[in-house]
Amino acid sequence: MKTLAPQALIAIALSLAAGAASAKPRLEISIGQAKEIVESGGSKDAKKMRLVPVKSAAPGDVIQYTLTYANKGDEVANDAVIDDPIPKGTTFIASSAIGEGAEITFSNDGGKTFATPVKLTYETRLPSGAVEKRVASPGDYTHIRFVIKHVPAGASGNVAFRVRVN
Amino acid sequence: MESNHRPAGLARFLTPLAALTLAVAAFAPTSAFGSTAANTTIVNTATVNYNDAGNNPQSAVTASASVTVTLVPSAPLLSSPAAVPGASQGVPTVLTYTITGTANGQDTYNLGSTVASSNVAAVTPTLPASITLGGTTLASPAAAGNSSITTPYDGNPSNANLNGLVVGSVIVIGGNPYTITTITKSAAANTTTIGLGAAIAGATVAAGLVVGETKTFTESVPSGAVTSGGSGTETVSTTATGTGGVTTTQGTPTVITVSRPTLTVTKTVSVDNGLTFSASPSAAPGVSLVYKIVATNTGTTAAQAVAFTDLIPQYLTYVPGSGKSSTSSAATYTNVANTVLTEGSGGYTFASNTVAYNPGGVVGTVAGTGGVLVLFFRATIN
Repeated sequence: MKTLAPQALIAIALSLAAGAASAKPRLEISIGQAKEIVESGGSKDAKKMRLVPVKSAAPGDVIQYTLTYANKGDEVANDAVIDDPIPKGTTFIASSAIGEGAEITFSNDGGKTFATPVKLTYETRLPSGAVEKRVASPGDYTHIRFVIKHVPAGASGNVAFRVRVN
Repeated sequence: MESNHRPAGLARFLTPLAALTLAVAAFAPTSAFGSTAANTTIVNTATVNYNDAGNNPQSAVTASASVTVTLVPSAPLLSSPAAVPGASQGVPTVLTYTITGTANGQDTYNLGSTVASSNVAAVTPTLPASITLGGTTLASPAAAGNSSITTPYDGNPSNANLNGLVVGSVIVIGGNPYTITTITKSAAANTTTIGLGAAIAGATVAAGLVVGETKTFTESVPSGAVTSGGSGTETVSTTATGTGGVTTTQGTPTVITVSRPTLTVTKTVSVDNGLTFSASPSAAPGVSLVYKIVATNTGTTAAQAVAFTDLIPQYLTYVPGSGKSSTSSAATYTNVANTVLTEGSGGYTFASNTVAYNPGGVVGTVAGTGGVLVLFFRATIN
């Protein structure tokens, strides 16, 4: 360090300062809600399901909430914490929370504390071959939390969970 | 966020959710133990907190989505009015039904009724074409002793009407009826408070249970003419049908037994001034005979407007002012309880050699199952 010219040090410091001032993460989030419907038709696969966006649902219906996050900034977003209270009038469906790269924790005390029900975690293989982590949980959770440690600039992703309308 | 939740590697991101959708197709709906009222808005709000590269907290962002709960049609409860054993031919029978909603919202139920007649002429009943019942659900348990309940907000800020329920509506909570005294909505809390005319009785009623309106309606069933014998039956079966064809038919058809009066008439004569009577005594000319005509109703319903006419036969002369009536078949002519009849009043006449007695009203009504009306008069053998 001692061999470095003072001018060079200043230049580096200036460039760092400039970078810190201009670069910022900017996360955006949106929620999609969809209902699972059974497709009828001539298909041999009688259990073919499809998700359709909905504005209304009947008691007993399953609604999947898909939270899409995107970093529209020009710097990585760290420790992105998505908190979502389980909507009033619905019941969380066990093991329906998914989110690749996301730590999923739950609260059953109104969002004061969150914990991962480790014992109930299991993995399942998607038809695409990808292995996905699922967390089973009781239906009485009040909040769900997804933590994504790093969201690079320009990146986006999804997490999702399902509820049943009471 | 706690560091011990650090994932194994850098964030990877989900491929489009199509694959995910296929993987989670196993959630078959099960029967809901509770229910949310129609028109309730379910809001999902997600909040994201995050840091920049220097771990400086950034402003949180939120997003919301809402779903409106729809009506789930449900077959109502419909009472079975008790059997009516003593309907009179010609007098309509009015049945009162109680109908109670079991849906999570307001629905209109079309009413229909069939009447199967046996030994009675066919009839067409009259009843309302439809009836509308309000409904909601319990947002929190209805505790015993409370004089109000909490239900979801229906998205309509007016306190005048909650899913068809208004002040004065009668709702059923845990099997017991209560009258609504107040409706107070809170859009902020997404709830409605319904005041009740009485405290919740019995055990606490769980959240999610349907609170349905109950109403009564009446159906008028004409009593058709009995085609033979003394009586026939009309078997009434009424049905209520809601949206989507949910249907309830009364559990036990209501059987109306329609009876008609049956009169039998006897005529006897006395030759001892009305003390004893027989069908065919013998007497000398100049003897004053007392005739006794007894009309007996052996049917089970009253005969109205019973009227006698008797043509005085040849060789007899009617004795003016001799008419009497009684309601006892055992009465003699001299019985002090007899009613003395006067020609030209009370429906009693003598004209064209004919005695007629048509008192009408109460006197002319002969009760069923053995009621009698007796007419006496004298005639002298020429």
